[in-house]
Amino acid sequence: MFYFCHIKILPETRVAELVLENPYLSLMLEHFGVNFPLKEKTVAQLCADNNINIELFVSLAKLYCGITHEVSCNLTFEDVPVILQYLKNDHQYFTEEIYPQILQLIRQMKGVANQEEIVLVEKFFNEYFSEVIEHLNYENEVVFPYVSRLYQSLHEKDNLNALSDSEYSVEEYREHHDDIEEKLSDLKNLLIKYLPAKDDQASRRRLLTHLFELESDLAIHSQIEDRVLVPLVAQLEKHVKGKIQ
Amino acid sequence: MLRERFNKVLHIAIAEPSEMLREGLAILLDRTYLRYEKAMVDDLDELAQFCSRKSRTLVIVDPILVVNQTRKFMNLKATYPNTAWIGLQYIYFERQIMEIFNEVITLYDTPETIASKLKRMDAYLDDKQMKEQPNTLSERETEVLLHLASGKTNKEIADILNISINTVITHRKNISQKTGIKTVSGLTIYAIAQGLIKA
Repeated sequence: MFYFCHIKILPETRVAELVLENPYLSLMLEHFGVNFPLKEKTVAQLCADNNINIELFVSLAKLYCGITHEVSCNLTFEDVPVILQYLKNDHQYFTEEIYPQILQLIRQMKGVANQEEIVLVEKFFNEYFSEVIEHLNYENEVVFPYVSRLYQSLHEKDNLNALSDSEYSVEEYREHHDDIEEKLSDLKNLLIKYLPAKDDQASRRRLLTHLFELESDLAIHSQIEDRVLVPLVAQLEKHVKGKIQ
Repeated sequence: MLRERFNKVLHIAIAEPSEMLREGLAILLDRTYLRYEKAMVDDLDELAQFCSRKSRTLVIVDPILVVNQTRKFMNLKATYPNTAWIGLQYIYFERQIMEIFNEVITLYDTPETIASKLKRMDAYLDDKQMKEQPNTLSERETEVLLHLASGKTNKEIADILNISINTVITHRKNISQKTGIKTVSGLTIYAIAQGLIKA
């Protein structure tokens, strides 16, 4: 979830301070594979202990704090596998944690109110989420393996040939990055403005909070893809394909 | 869209006790490109009856009807906010009287000028309605919404309502703007929640 952070995110900033400011950074830490407790570690120390490029850590942390224009240009090709793993962890978080939680809340609402509208909301949310899943699967099955192969070909000559036939390019991915936000916004509007309530105030409030979180998490997710992964992979592509010719 | 605007039927009432002026104005209106239904009345009571039957009207009023019954006229004006009041000026009337009207037609206006003034008043009513009820769908928008909810495509809706696809798209844009809901499945749930259709 996007959360404004007043502290400057620098190598010497203590990570715990950052998380105290923006609790959603704990999700970022989790995706990076960093565990609590954070003790007094600074960003630099934590990154060194966990093999994370400080520039990458700071760039992502800024995205989680709503600062979208300060992505570092000093990322290296060695960051590619880290970013891929990060995004895969994020996918898993969406499908295995967030989605079941939201569905459970909708079912609770259905149980309390037993209205036809809520049945439709469930159907609507499922439709929406299958679109999300479709997008995530496309990334898992097409984009990420492609980027992995591209990265491996930096180190292994054999892979170069396999890539030379590859018609895929990260530009296609950019185009495929379609907008799945409309449905989520519709759902919020329906719950806030139109759906009649029947004693479901508490479940509805919780559902709304979750939807806002989901929306924000997905927005950060695509920011990471568009502003961090895609530009880096475009460079990698140029580098590798330049070697082929 | 343009065609629809041209085909729109205006409801025009002429409140004029003088038969000569009343009929003369009606003849001029017939010479314009406007499509309209007209009603001719002689006094404010008849006018009130007419207004109560129509949801929105352009009324051309002889200021003489207002002069001695200003309060009655103001009541009428307040009761029917979806009406535009146009004074017919043929002699000098005091400014306070003429200021009550939204627009003035004079004896020397050509039919084209009259038509464009009436059109302008119609657009003024559109605007006013939009501002007063920003989130209420118009009848046409509701029709489009119901067709969308029943699974019809833009093309099918255009054929059924006998309007262009672009007009359907404009209606859809307005519906989304007013409701905040963009997708067809979202709009379907909206229509059910509003009691417009059954699940």
